[in-house]
Amino acid sequence: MAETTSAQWRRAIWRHPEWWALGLSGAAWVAMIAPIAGHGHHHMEGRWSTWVGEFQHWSLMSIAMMLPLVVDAVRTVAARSLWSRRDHAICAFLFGYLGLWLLAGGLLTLTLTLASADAGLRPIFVAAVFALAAGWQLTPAKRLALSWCHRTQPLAPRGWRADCDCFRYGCTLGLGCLASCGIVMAGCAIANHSALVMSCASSVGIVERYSARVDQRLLAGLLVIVAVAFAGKAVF
Amino acid sequence: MASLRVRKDAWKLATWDPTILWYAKAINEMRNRKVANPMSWRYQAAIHDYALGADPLAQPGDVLPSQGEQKQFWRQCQHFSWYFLPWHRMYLFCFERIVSATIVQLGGPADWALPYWNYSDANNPDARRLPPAFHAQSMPGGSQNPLLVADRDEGNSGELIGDANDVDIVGCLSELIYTANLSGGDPGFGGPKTAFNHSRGSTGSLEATPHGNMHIAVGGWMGAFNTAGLDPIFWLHHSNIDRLWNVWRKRRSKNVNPPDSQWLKGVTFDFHDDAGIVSFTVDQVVDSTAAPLQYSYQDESDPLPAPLAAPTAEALRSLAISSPSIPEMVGASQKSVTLTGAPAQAHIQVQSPVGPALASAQRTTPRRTFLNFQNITGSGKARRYSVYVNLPAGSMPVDHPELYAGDLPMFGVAESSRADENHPGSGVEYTLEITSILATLESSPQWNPANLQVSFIPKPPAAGSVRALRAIASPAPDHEIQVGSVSLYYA
Repeated sequence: MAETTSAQWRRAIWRHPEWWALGLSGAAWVAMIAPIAGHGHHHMEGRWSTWVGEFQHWSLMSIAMMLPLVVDAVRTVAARSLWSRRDHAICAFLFGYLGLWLLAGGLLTLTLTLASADAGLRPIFVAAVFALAAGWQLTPAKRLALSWCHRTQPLAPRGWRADCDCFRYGCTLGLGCLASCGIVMAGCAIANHSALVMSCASSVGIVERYSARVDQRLLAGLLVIVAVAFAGKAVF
Repeated sequence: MASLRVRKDAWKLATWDPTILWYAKAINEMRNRKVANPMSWRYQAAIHDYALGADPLAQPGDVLPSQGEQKQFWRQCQHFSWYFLPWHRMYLFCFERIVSATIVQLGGPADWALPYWNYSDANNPDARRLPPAFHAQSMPGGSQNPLLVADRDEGNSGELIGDANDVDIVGCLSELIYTANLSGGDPGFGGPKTAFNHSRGSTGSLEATPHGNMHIAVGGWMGAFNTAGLDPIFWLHHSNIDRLWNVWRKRRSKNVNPPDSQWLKGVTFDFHDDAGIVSFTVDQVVDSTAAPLQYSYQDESDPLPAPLAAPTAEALRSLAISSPSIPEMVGASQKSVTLTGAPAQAHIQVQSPVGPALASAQRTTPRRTFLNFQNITGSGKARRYSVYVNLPAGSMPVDHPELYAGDLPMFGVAESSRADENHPGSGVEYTLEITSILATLESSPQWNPANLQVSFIPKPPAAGSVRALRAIASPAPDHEIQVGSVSLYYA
């Protein structure tokens, strides 16, 4: 007997437990881009010295850019959880994962706010950070961090142990992702969360996470292009 | 059209048939070449994996290939991945060309083909013994025999290696799909969909048994990724594994390789053959009789009697393939299990399904049941374990074949446990189907879903083997393995 449309939708949702995490990511992208489109560049510069505003942006940026990179891990968490607690398990995982990004972002944005760099110098800093990210892309330590991002770990089936395991798993992957992508994300923050820069950085992250085999030199080259573009902006 | 090379059954050849004799001569020549020479014995073995400081053939003054060359060509073996079979096919093909060229250089025939070791041949009571040349003390003429490797745990006294379950091919050849279900269901014939992989993820049926079992059963150099290729029997073992891929494809018209472009063309693998550097994508090696491979096996007939399984099991599998279900986890162990050479148990509290498995039951779709063993990590010498379900207390496992779920070969556990640039360090995963066992248990009045017991029984060493003697001399455990989680899935 052919499946009804609602049954087909249900199976699609069952097959893709990551759907709402990706939905969050999409909403975060919209939230980041919409204010920029509506209020223009001048409004963004005005918020530079406001730490809360920067932290909010960092939080949105983390949700927007990092959640698509942990789809496999979210699926693993769902598959290794009792059906009744799948979404609960994913939440615990994301708390651990995003918690580390928010912690890192809090420290970074505080540092940036306290530094209160001259707006004219910011492109130089962005260029420097992306050049650093390009160099980092070619190191064994980067490859180790990226390998760490593919870890799995056992999860208890129920109770507080299950919640702890999912949270810890999120933290484990968060650490790896911070090491792997932290420099690029810092560059995006210093670049005032430019949609174009975020898109470039996201592309690098998605390619290196999901390609069958990655040539890090190509990805480093893309980051160098971003660095050169900002260096040119600083000079001219 | 060039004629096909025919890879022959080593057990159907005389002990020192020219195929075997020239293989031995070529190995001697290849072992004399420097390690940085792509046509050397050690270089060929290092393509699989290499550990500096753990190379048993290391020489003072060794000059290894450059870091760049090592990164491109060494430590490339694909395991726990849908690339396992095609990568090893490419590896063997290039090795065969190098050996063949070496044989020609030594004055031998130009049509040499790598033989295979069919340890599963039900018509050969000696199938599980090493072919005689591989444990002979010397070659004809009295010179040292390179096919004999002292560092083997079983086989060098001519004894039977492992047991019948180690060489079982019913399980893998019965698979109806190539690609594993990553969510806890069917492990598939060929393994899970992965990116360029070097030890991560679940294990396909063929890679688990007989592949992994025989690596560990022979043991010694064969028991570890980084030394396996140094044992001459490795290549005959993998020749047989490659042959079983052809057998699987031929035995049923619906046994097809993945059509995914990512599998076929997504990754390029680099090797050296006798002419230099060669690169392959999977689509170039799916047909062993087509160029550039152009070889076949002496026997690619279906070795399984028909019907291959109980009609119920076959019907279940067929239905599952036509309308693939979504696996649902219904129970798991609360904590990890430690294995140190003694029997151990895991307990699972089985819950009633509430998701896809319930929906399937409501549609009266037959249910399949799988045990998943996840995040298996450890150190020391790898050891095989047999898995039984609800073994009665105090009973001998051998008295309950109806409760036997399968083996966990543990090949690659130590390597997969180490985190580095290529390995996330998450360990190994296995999946065993227990549909028939669970159906029998559930129909029993003693069935208690609150406590499904999974027993891990270490496989005994072969009588008369080095492993058996070592176990008597030094009964202390030589390994520690953690099974992170044991879970039950309905699909």
